[in-house]
Order: sequence, then structure tokens, then C-alpha cells
Amino acid sequence: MKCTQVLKHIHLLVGGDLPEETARQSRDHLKACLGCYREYQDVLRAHESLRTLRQKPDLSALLVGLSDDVLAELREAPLGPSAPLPRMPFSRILRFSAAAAVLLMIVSASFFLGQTSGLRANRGLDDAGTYRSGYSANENPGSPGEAREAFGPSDLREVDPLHRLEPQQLPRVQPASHRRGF
Amino acid sequence: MNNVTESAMVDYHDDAEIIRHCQQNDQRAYTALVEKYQDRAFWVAYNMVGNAEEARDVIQEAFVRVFRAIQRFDFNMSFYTWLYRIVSNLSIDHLRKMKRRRPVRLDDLGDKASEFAEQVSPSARLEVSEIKREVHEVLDKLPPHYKNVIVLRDIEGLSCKEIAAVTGASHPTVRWRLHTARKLFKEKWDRQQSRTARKAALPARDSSRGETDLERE
Repeated sequence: MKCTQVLKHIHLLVGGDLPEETARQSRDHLKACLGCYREYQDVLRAHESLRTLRQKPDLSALLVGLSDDVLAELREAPLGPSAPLPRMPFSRILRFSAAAAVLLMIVSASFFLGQTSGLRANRGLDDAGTYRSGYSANENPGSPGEAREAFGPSDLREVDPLHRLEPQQLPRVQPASHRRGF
Repeated sequence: MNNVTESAMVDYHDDAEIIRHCQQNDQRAYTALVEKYQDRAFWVAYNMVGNAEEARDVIQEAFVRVFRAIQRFDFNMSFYTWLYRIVSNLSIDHLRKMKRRRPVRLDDLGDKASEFAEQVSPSARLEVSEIKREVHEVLDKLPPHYKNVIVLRDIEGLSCKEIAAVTGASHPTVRWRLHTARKLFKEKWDRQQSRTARKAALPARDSSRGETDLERE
């Protein structure tokens, strides 16, 4: 076994947490390699310090009445299926409700704005409520079919505002599944 | 009356028997279970949170949780694994809540700990308690998950497989955590030791300098 391999798992070796065969090979290496052996001694020293905590003092005085305290706490909230579910603190309920209300407002506002801008785009209205083609609402000649009859197919672009919009300006229609929730 | 007679006959060495009585809401069985495991649970919690009072609170909460879920206890698993899991998780939660970490002192354990210390000679006692304090200080600097593995393996003496059952991690993960935890501990321990050695050397150098000055005078 090489030095790098031994040093790689030296921390497991000191605690006896290596498989038997690997541990045996590592020990053989340590017998032959002074550098690794010194490192092992260093690691072992730190590990031994940890093991001093294995000695437990007599804790009985500290733990007097623990079972009574546990039983008293259990009596306050009974056992079994009849035990009430832990309640969420009121402050947390309040915070959740406020967050939910804000979220709902944002979602409904964005939906409302999306709808109105979509309607405006559909009708060719700008923000001031006038037609982008320069017609006012009263001068609207009617449906594209009527316009076609009045001006002919070549003039349709002059009448139907949707025909004048570039494809990227056309309102995006959301799929039905997105709107179903509202 | 019948219930009392039955509970008096319970074999309190057998966990399964005690748990069956707990499931029948036998108060004596509850007490027996707490008294059987309170020391071990406390020692794990104490080495994790580093304060006797908080460790007591942690194990009290752990036992309450155990008894609330005792009806669902799986008899295929060992009770102490389950208890250690709850104690470990509560201790880790507690450590996370306590952003400010206090230095740990053995005095926290009160008079009983000193009684234990009186069994050895005063100088050895001082040395042992000093080492323990330093070990606790170093342990306190480790991240909770690594600390938990070290406490369970090197202090409590659980095997890697048992730790895997307690933590819910796989056996290789536990070994990897243990390796990293010991490596971290060693690095911090070495740093602490060199700091202590420097501190010890400073007054010695000052006093020796003082002596030479006196000698010169």
C-alpha cells in the first residue's frame, strides 16, 4: 500500500472503522514507513482526546424528576389519535395570509392588465383610446368583411388595424388551459 | 388494581415489553423507559448542545415525542436507535436556532460532575477537565452533522451501521462524514493546542526573563 492511500483513510484507521483487510495492509505500511507512522501518531493523539468524553459523570442529580416532567407535559396534551394536531401560531397564520393576499393581487392585476392590453391590441386602440389608423371610434367602418365590400381587398390594410401590426405586435393569445383558473 | 399487578410484573430490561405497556398507557412503563435511557440520551444531547440545562430540555422534548408516537413504534427496529435519532435531530435543530454558541464548561454539570472528578487526584482531575473543556470547545466549532457523527461514534461508541440507522444516511455516507469530521476535528485541535502552547510559553518566557534580570541585579 502506498503512503497516499494510507493517509487518505488514516482518520478511519484510528477509530477502527476500516474493513479488516484494508486496516491490516495500512498497519503493515505504518510499520515500514516512518513519515506515515508519525502522522498516524498525530491523528491518534487528537482522537484519544475525544475519547476522554466517553467517561460519563454521574448524571442522576441532573436528571431528577425528568420522567415526571415528561408525564406532566404529556398530560397537558393527551396521547393517541385524539391528540389535537399542532396548531400554527397566529403570527405565522397572519404572515401567510398577507403573503397570499399580495400574491393574489399581483396575479389578478397582471391578468387584468394582460386582458385589457390584449383587448386594446385586438381593437387597434392605443392607450388614449383612439384608433392607431387615425380613425376615431365613430368613424370605424365596421367589420373587416364590410370594409372589404366597401373598399375592396387591396384597401383592407387601410381599414383593419390588425393587418397593419407586425407579427410581433399582435396580441398573444393565452391557451385556454392558462385562463381556466380564473 | 389488575393493571397495577400487571405493571409490577413487567420485565423492565426488555424494551419491547416496556413499549407494549407504554402503548397500553401504563405510566410505570413510561417512567421505566425514561429512567433506562435518560443518561445516554442526555450525554448525547449535552455533547451536542454543550449546555446541561438545554440538553435536559432537548431530551425532555425527545421523550415527549417518543411517547406521542409510541403507538406507531416499529418493533423491527431498536428503541435506542429511534430515540437517538430524535435526540440528534432535536440537538441539530437547537444548534441551528442558537446562532450564538457559548463556550462549554464542565461546571455546567454541577456538583455531581465534581463528585466524579474527586475520584481522581487533584492534578489529574484538573488535567482531565482541561482536556475535556478543550475538546468541547473544538467540537463546538464543527458543523452540526459532523459533530453528530463524532459524538455518536467516538463518544457514545455506536458502530457506523448503527449511526447509519440513527441518521438515516447510508453506511458509506456515514463513513465519509466520520472521516471528514475527524479530519476537521484534528485540524482545529492542532490549532487549539498550538495556541495553548504559545499562551503557556509567553508567561514562562517573561518569568525567565525576569529571573535573569534579577540575577543580573
